Amino acid sequence: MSLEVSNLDVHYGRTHALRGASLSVAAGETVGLIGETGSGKSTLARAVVGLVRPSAGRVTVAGEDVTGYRGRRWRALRRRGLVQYVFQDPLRSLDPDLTVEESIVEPLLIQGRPRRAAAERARELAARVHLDEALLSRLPGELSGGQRQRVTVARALITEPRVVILDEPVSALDAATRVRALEFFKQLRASGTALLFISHDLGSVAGIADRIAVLYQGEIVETGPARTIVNAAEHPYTRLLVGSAPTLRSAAADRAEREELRALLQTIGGPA
Amino acid sequence: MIRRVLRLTSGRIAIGILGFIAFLAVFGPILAPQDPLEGTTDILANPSSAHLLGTDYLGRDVLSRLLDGSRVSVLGAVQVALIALVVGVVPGILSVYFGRAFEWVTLRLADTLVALPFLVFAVAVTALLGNGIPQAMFVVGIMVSPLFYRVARAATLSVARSQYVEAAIVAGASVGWVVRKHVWVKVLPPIAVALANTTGVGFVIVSSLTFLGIGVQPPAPTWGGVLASELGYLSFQPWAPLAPTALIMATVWACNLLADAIRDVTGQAGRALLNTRKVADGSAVTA
Repeated sequence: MSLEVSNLDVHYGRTHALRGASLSVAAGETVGLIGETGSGKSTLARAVVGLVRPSAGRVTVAGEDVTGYRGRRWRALRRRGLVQYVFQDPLRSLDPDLTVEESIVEPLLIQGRPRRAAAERARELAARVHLDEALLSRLPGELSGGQRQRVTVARALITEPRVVILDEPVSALDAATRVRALEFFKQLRASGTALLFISHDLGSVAGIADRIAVLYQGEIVETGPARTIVNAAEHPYTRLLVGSAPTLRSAAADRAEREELRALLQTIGGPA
Repeated sequence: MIRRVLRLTSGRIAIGILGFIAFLAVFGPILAPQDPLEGTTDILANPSSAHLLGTDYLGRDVLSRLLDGSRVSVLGAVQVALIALVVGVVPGILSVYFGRAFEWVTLRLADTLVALPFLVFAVAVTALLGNGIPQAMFVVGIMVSPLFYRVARAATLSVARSQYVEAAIVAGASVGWVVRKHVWVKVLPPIAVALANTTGVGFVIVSSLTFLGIGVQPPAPTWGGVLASELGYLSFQPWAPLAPTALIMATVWACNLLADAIRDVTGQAGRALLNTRKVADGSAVTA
């Protein structure tokens, strides 16, 4: 397994943000993680890369148990570039004072690679994510949203990671750009990279994910092959999600059915 | 940054005045037409071709005394600013990264220093360490350092939690890397503003101390000292304090003007600001 999370608990003060979440992503596999705002998707991702310290559970990255890692050991592992995280907001995750190229090569420079070789790699990556080479000398503020997003993807891929966590990678993109981005992620999957694809929108995940995990109020309520989740979901919350994505079925669930599902969710209550 | 400051009229005026003052500090003692220490029988004379700014109560040439005294004032002011910079900025940035204990201690220290009246404190220190501008300015520098501490800390805090810093951390960056690559550029512009401001404050403090006769042995001339001696003879020469006052005022004003100019050209973030200007001009091409 490229990435394995088991029984992960995360607390923010008194808030129990993640409860016993378990998830695994194999090499060449894409797992979609869906859930509404505040359900704990980003918390799970941040715990995997060590930006959030879990209160219980285990995280294994590329076969290495990182649960107890701190400071120096985490840094050493991160420097190998095995796991990369593409943040949700491309503008905020790029330093406004660094040119596109400086941002893309940063992970390599952190590894101590020579600047010239790193710049060479940046041009290769730019071509791979269909980013015009002329844009490399620009600042992020001069780029469009889609271009910035490709910059953050290029930065993540420059270390040839085995696991890439994509946090809402297509939410900020317009329809045409979104299709191209999804095409690109499919190619990436084909090259053997494990992808954890986080989204609030089942529609954008269903087309690319092999398996889907549904996060509801900090708990993974359902995991299964994408087809099963879309066609034969068991948990009422998943059914509500499927019903709310009209593109996934010939006819969307009607209003009465959605009300019914919401009522059912109320009666079984949250994990609280 | 300097080039952009020079594009502003206010920046040009400020740098012009400060350049002139710096020139006086270097060459003033050589330029002085007469010995600033030697008295003549011609006491409290009005301005004339022999004494362009008149003479003081011992018949010493005021222009020569002001020129000769500029070095002390400038060095003192610069010393205050640089000491405050070094003492303030480093812990300011580190307070964000060195854990809660360090943060708490430095914050309380900064609060304590702000609460102390520095002029009185400087007087006390010269009594303890001996009368001299360097000692007094060293203490004053430490006492105004909380300004730099807070400015550096605020700028660092705003960057430290940003996603691009998190992205660097996920890529394995150390604290040193983050500070060098991301924090430093954002901290510099507000620090430059604070530096210009503090230099102005430094001039006021040096002048105040020397006005009180602290920091230099009496015959040695200073701007504040000249002002003090002129004030004693106000009834004979009511115009006399104008020259040293104007010199001090112009210098402090130029420092503040420079601070404003730097603030105007840098705004929030260094290169990013230039960048938005370009977009506003429509010269930036975005697909």
